[in-house]
Amino acid sequence: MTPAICADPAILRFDILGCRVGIATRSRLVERLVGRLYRDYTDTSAEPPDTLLQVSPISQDGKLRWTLAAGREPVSCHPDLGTALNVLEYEICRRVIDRRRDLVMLHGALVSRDGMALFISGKSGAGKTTLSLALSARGFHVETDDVALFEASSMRFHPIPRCFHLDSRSKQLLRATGVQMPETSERHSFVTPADLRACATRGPTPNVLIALTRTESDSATLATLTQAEMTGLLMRESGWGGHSAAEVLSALVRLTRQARCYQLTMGSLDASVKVLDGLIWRHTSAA
Amino acid sequence: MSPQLTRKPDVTAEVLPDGSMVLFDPAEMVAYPISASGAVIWEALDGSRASERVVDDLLSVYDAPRDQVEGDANAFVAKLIEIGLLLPATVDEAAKR
Repeated sequence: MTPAICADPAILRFDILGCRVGIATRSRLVERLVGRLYRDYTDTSAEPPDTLLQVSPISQDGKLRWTLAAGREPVSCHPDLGTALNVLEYEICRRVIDRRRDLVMLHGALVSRDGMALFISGKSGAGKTTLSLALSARGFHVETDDVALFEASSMRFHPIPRCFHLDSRSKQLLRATGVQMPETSERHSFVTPADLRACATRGPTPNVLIALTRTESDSATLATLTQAEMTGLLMRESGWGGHSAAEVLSALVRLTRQARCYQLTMGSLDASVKVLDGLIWRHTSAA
Repeated sequence: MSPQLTRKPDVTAEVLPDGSMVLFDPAEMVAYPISASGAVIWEALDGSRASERVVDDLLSVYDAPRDQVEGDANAFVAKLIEIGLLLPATVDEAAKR
């Protein structure tokens, strides 16, 4: 089905953590999805955007493709909207991080429930997105599944809005655990934060830090990490921005010194969610 | 454990509330997490005390046989030497002790 196309491109304007981004598109679908993704960052100022990105559907060899351009420069061409949006988000994320070099970039998911906030760090493909979505079905509020900017002076976390992108295996795992996914996940292989009623312009400071690893076993295990081990791990995974190594270390020490630290070795999705459920219950019961 | 060791210059140490410690080598820009017992050893290796005192410090904290504590401490010190955070003391440094 050919997406509805407008004659004149709509230009959506957002201010994401001080980076003014304009997104131009002739596609009503993209206009709606991007509007939902960045709805908490609408730029109402009269200032021109720092960067203008364009997402457009084109017909190529009789097939629908999605192109991405930055200003007049073509960036990429993709066979599906999910991939094009993933690249768009990456381009925006990169520009926000470049703009906010006063902040430390942390690669991980930030979720919260019952007054507890968990930051789950892990390499790409470790399962952060799938785990975050499964946790959302257990009442966890998902601030981000991918990137947050950390302000060391105030200990504030600023999640960078991104869709939750799912491959077929992730969707299968989520269905198996009984998670009801929004319709967009079936059609486009992604879910916007708004679909999960996530509305994070500022995330809570995590009081639990988790390093995520994977295993082929079905059972999930949780082991205590020392605060020093977690500091070292976050140091390796973080983006330093304009900071020196010593400054980043100091910031991460401030974060870890007020948190409990664990390593979660993921087993089956259901087992992993239960382990984190149990962790929250133990902490809130003891309080 | 040899007493003729000195810490690499400019290496900083940050103690965390759970007793673990992060050693940071600014020359290599690498952070090394160490355990609470490792932190006791690092703190003691300020060059002012003999190695036996380091083991005594550990024995005051950990209820374990002396041989075991000494063996673990030696292994930890060997690791610090391997990664360059502990260096052989110079003749002047050794003479000062």
